[in-house]
Amino acid sequence: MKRVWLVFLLTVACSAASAQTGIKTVVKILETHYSVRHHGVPGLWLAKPFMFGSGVGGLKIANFDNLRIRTDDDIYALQQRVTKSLGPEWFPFVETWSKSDHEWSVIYARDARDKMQLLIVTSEDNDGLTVLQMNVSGKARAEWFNEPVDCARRDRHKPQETAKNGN
Amino acid sequence: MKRIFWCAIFLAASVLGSPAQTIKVPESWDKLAAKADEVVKVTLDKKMLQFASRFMDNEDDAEGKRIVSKLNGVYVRSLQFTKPGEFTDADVAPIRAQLQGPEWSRIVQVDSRSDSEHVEIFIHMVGNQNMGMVILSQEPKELVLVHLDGPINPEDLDDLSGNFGVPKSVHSPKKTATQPKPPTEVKK
Repeated sequence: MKRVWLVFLLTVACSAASAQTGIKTVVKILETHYSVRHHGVPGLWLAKPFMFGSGVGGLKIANFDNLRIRTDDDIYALQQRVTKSLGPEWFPFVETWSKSDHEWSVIYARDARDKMQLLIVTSEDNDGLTVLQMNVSGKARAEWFNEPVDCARRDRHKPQETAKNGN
Repeated sequence: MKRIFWCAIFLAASVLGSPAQTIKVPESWDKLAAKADEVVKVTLDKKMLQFASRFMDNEDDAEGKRIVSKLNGVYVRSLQFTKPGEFTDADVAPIRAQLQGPEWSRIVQVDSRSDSEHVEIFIHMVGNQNMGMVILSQEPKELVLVHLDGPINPEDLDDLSGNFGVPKSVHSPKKTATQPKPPTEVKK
């Protein structure tokens, strides 16, 4: 009987883990659809001490340096594809688009019990496309809820700075 | 937008509980967005608001939590244009037209000549029930639409000001009466 329970629990755990979507889901879509490869950020762990106390943690970044998505139709199609693949647990919380800078971002939020998870897909002409996932809590979470427009404008540039400067 | 101090009328208290509203953002907004240089779209539906309210545990947040718990959604749409004159009143007219049905009342209108800013607040009433509020802020290079979907009193704006994408310049009208009054126009 114990063995049956263990098998059952293992099955449930595995299916729960495989059902969870996030940055890997988005990376897979991009790599499959656009035939590109992502790369991580070397030394990202060095940035983590700087994040201590900021309310931001669990930062994961995937860069696609050579991927440029410019036309309205392409942007819309990608957003639809990503949103569908992420599933209903990820909610498109903020969308920003700057035509003159050729930049756009979609920010998804997910309720992860005691914290909020954010997933940001952002594209710039200079840096290509970047996907970020992070946990936000405390002050950072309050900022996002209180000033989502300002945070969206600010964080449209933040991913590249985070990757380059480590904070 | 940044320095305007709101001064207007008070509207009677709304009744709790409202069905979901079908129109969240006027459809004509998308046409105008195509002309804008920068577009920001913030969507906080009931699920997200409930999630946010879970973390509003401080005493200072109590009033905000009460308001948020009643709302069905907060929708903010911001358009920035590269230079003045890229949109006209005619572009905004279809948006305003959707806020002029029998269920909509403009309760506040503020014109600031110094800042070239024009702000209006519309309230959605069905019977005696307050179903929501729309704030339309127009500047030479910026247009902001905020839709607070759900029962909300005009005086509650103070607690939402600067939060959930609601512009910081938005404050509640002064509490001067207990019954609804006709729209007031304030010229600065």
